[in-house]
Amino acid sequence: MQSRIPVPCGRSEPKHAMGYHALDSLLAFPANIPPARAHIVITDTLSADGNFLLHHFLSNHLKAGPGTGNVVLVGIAHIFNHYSIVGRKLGVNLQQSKQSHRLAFIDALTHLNRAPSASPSPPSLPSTPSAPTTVLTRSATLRPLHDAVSAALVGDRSLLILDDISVLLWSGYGVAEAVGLIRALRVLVQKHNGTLITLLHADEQLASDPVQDAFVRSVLGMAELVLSVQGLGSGFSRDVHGQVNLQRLRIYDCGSADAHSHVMCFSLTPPHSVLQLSIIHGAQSTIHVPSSTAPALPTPQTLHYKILDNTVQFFARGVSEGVL
Amino acid sequence: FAAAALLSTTPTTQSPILFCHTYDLTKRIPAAAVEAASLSLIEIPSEFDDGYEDGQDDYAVLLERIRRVVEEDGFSSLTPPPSTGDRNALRIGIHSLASPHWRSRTSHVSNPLLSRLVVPLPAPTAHPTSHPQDLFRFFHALRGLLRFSYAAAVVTVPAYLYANDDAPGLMRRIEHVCDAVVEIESFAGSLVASTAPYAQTYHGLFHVHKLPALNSLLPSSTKLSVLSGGGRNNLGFRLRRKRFAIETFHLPPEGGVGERRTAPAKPQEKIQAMDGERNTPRRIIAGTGGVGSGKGRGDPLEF
Repeated sequence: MQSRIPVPCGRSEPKHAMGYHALDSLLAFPANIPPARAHIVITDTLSADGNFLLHHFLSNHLKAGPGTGNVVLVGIAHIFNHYSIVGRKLGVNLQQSKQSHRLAFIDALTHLNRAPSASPSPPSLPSTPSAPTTVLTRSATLRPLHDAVSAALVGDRSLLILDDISVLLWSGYGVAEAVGLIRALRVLVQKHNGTLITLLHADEQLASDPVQDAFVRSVLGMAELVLSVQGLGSGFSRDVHGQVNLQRLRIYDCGSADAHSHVMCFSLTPPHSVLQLSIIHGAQSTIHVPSSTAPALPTPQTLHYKILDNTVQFFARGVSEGVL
Repeated sequence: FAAAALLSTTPTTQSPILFCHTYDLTKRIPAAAVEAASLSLIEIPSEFDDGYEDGQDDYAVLLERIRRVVEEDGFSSLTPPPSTGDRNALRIGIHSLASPHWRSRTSHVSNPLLSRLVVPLPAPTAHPTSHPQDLFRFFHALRGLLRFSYAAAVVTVPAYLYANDDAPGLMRRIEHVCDAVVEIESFAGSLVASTAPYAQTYHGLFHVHKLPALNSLLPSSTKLSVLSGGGRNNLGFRLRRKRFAIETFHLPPEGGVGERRTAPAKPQEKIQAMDGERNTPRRIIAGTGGVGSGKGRGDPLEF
């Protein structure tokens, strides 16, 4: 079967660091909006925080004109103020977006594991005049979170960002439930022709725990694109803060609404182990046998990055200004 | 294992902000300062105290007490400032959290046999699981509480208790949910390190695993630090009576700083030892006894 998705292999590496534009040109999303019905997973470690990628996708989506749905940002590790101040440095006004309902923020940090409060009104309702943050009470299941997200997603080509889902697993919800939530949210986002972006922690040191390992592999198995953020193997450096590994697991649709074909077999190499996994994807679309002329999956690409105050520089390995 | 919360008044001086302070262990806090400050001591009742509830979760109780201090004493940023004047900042110190004194509903380790050693009196409803979620949930809830308050918390955790495989990744999960993580590794605990030459100048290593990056992409201390690598690499500490200093860790000069050997070694010494202090001849040469260069000790077994 012919795949009519343009495979962006063969793009030349950016010649010099251009800030976030370098990452955009490598990802090659049309209009810098992630593709519809795609699940992008960002993994990071303690020494290299993947937050900077989330801010970037968030600001790209907000800067895009009409034609995209709203953004739902679920802050499980950070509060709205954090995204708002960083967003200002990246050139987007999150307060304004929240007021115009282009952005909905769900504050899970203050509500997921809250101490039971004796006062009648929950003290977490902010007194500042802004769009109210949804209140979630600590419950035995993740159903309220799912329902809150479902109510907040509006429009076609919307974006749902979960920062970060490892906290859900570590707070005691079982693996099956946490993975089930991601799966349910993925279906929800696909109904809106949108994109789901999740961030989780995949340190080497955590891989020996079977529960954590199962969770990471399950989520990675549902991804179309994986961005792995890691520190350098040689330790902390002033010029290079870490590396980002891009791996496309499935060929995704780049915007056409018609039926599309997928390449069925792909290999998955999670960043924290070297086990090769072959998964046959069969749900939701007819199975096509790949012909011998089907394009090969692009090989994973690695970029080094350095975080600055209001942007992040990306460059090919060994090409940073401090090194040359 | 009691937690103490201290109130500190905001300084109104115009002097520049110092980031380095001298920490002198011989100086005591004057009693007047202690009395003037507003201290709240939080004690979690054990099973021998009144107010103990059977099967209580120590972490939940602690969190509830901290929340009460934050909300009722005007430290929460969501409530209007108290009418008595300016707001003050709250400093929360928790010593030795997750040590065996603390009991949670779920045990920290997955081995049921080991949990009986770590938890002195397991509550009847507790069952060992592989998820030490109560400790994690405490830290996550504390993070959420502190984000909307004028308070900072410093928590010390005896991480060496959880270094084995029974609780894989427990400390790493906690580290992810905290803003800053530092680790003090003493040379006294390691046989190799305590006899090393650098152990005379430094008492241990100071690791910085994570720096706070609130409201920004980059931790602000990376820009401000004068140390190499933004202050993340190679820090050692030394603890003296009058000073606790953290500095860049330099290896002492090769060969030690003891007696310098300037004359060439005796010809019988086939292999020259690099270190003047530890000098054991590799080959036993017949007829010579205990010949060494520098401060070499005679080997009584050599004949």
